[in-house]
Amino acid sequence: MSTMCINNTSEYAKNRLMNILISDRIGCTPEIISELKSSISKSLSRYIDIEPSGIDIEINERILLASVPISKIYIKKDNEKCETDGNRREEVQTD
Amino acid sequence: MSEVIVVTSGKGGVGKTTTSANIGTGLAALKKRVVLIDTDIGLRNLDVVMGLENRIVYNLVDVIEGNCRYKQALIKDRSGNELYLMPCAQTRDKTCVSPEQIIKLVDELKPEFDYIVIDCPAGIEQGFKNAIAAADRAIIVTTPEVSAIRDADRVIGLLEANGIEKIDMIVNKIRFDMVRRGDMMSVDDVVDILAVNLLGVIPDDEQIVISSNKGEPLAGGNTSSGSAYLNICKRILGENLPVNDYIEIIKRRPFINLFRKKHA
Repeated sequence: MSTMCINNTSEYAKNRLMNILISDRIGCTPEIISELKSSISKSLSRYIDIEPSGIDIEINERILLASVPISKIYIKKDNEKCETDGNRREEVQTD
Repeated sequence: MSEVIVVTSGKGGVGKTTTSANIGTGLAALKKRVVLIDTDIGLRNLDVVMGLENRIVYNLVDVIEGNCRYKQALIKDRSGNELYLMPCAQTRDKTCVSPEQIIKLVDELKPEFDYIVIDCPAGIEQGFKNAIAAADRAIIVTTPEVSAIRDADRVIGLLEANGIEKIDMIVNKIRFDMVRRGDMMSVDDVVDILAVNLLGVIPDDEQIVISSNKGEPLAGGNTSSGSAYLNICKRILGENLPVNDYIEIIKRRPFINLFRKKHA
């Protein structure tokens, strides 16, 4: 079969649509969404190691869900401030 | 107990009127008493799709303004089933009717019919507000295109804000060959994005153009879209038919192609 698709336009359409719907639902432009992503990334990376490229924003029934992939979490036994909810993907390093 | 269904989409050209006509025809073929109301004042088309354009004497605006009784405006369908059309005015505009007037009219029709199907105009302005005012449930018609799905999402939000909880969706004009190539969003993609109940899938079928040329809706006929429309009507009646009947069409296609190649 000669139709091995390199340009999967339906996937492209789906991604565009997701971005449009997010900005429609919040009522702001796609640029503001990318600004939002970058400031989430900035403020979170002050505390934890994250993967900024993997940030995903969703709007579900008036709730904004930002999922942020965490690359590493250091849990210091003597410091309670660094506890996390444990729902995220995480690599726990104990030394 | 009658049920009022609004057929809406936001975007124009996705097949609201065709869907309304076929749902009306299908429900009537299933022995229900049905009235179709065209609320696209100024751009009426449901009469043409039904092939009843030559029988219009009075219209929705005449009824609302008290120029005639509602029974005088109703046109009986040619199929012989209990299917009636309430056409709308062509020479007026949407602002001459208010949502309250539509509610009053629908209340009058309720004792006479099992299903009242309202064909909504495109857009989200006055015409849309009129069309959804009396609805118990909504059917969103969309196509697997970015613009249509975006508008459908907006309309779903507006319907929910107006207290319409039962919202189903029909994915129209799907081309399974393009879905397989990866050049059209699949039904699953659309359902994932809009997160509403899928009532049925209508393939992009040339028979639909032919049926609108003739002014004869094809629900119940022996075409693939005709049977898809009839299945949608059965689901509206509460029959528990699997929604994935379209998968069969996808599976069947490659065999047909193989067969053709062999004998070419």
